[in-house]
Amino acid sequence: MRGLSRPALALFNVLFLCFLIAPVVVVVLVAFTPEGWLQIPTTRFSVRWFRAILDHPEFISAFRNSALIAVAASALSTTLGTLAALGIVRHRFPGRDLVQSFLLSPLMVPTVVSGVALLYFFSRVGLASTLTGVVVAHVIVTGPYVIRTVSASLAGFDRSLEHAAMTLGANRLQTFWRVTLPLILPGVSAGALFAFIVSFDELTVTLFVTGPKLVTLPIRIYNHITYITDPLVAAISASLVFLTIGVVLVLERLVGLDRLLGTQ
Amino acid sequence: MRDGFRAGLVLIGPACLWLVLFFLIPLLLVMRLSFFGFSPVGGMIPALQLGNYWKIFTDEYFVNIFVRTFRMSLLVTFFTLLLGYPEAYYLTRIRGRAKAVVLVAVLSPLIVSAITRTFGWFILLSPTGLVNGALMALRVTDTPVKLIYSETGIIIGLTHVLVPFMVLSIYASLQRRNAALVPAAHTLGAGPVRAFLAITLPLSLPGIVAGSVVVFTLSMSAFVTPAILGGTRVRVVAYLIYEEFLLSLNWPFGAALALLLVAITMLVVAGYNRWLERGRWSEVFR
Repeated sequence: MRGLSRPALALFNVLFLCFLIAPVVVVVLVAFTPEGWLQIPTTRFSVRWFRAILDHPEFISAFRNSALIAVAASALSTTLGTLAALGIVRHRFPGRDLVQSFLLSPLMVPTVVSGVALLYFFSRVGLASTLTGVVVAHVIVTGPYVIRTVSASLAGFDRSLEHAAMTLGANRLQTFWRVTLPLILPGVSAGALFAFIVSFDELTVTLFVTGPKLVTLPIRIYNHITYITDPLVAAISASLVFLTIGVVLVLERLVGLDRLLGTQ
Repeated sequence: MRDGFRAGLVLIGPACLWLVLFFLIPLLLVMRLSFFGFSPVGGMIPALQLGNYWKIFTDEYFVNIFVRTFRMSLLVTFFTLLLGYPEAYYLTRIRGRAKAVVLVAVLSPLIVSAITRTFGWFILLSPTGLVNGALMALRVTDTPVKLIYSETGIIIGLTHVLVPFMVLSIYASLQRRNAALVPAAHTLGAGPVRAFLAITLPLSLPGIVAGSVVVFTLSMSAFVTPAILGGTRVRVVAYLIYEEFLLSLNWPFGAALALLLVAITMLVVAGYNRWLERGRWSEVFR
């Protein structure tokens, strides 16, 4: 390309990527500070703030709550979402486009509004501040991600394999379990992981539907930093970053990020 | 065919049912709630009236917060476009492993926990943080600039998390264009700037539009970033809704704020689309 000069564009790219990763890098660095305040360590590093996490059981129980909720919500939304994606991609029925937009609509509605709506509804049916309520809300929030991911993985599906199975005497259910599901499993697992991450990190909707008795990790951290900002939160955040990197590596192995991002 | 129809319904049924019960019905209930009255002693008054909306439109305090949210969303949209376009263009020029790495980095703000990245900005933008340190070392300023608890900080934080949407959207539209067009323009004597303005830019317009709609919509309703970087000092509409629901407990008024936020956002987006479809570049949208 003769137009925009190549070195300038490459330099811009480097600066832009620095801008994107700067906040995460800073959090991870601050987590290793030996000091008592938010300082980037230059000469001495310490893990005292990582050890300090263990002295704060409220963060550990919040972590457990978040993990439990994320497992339940992603299991449910993966089941519902995979079925829905199969129905939308594979079948032609009147109003199909409308159904598809409806199923993806939680992405269009602001999360604050979904939170408000669920709080009001839950308070009327007795689900406010309950584990069930939070899981139900997270299924709404994570469902569209599963539907999108699974739909994408169904796009290149070779249906003649299913026809072959049916010809050989398998019934519909057997065909699904033995042929269809194994073939779309990478897409389904990617959807489940996405759902897990989104649920684990969800703050806005959760803030509305839960109460002081059931605190998730994002809410615990949010409440903490609105009172005090210390390296403890940096250490917790850094641990989460390491966890996320682990999950991304699993995703890479499972489906390949190229395929997931549609860059191939 | 009929069989396929029934199988389709069985598959989408559970998800649709879930969504009707736990999403559509709650939304409709909140719509009704926004017309209810409220008294600090008695709580909700279930009689339909327009008082909540009247209060928002006539009280300068609320109007100002809506105007601020709108202004900041426009600025965030502008900055994501400014940064996102060259990056998307760069992405079309690289291949293979390098592209995969850049893509992951571009998506990283979305992958990393919202609280983590906002906390990172909190540290960077604080009066003693790196950004102020750099500004003072470069003699741009003598005293620290107020970056956290200010609109500037929120705009930086939102630009950071929303720019991936802009990059991906523009990148997709740049990929779709016919690769032979720009060389053809050069052959016909157009210089690089002319070829860019006459071909690449108009053809990527659908991507710019799609990206700016997403970014604008998400900025209008953003909660986590403005809550941490602005809080009560720089309120946005989403924070106001949070306060009304969880602190003041005036649910009907909070519901009216929420619906107005959705309505205004939808109106702006619809108006923007209409304006573009009728304008000079209408043919690239067909």
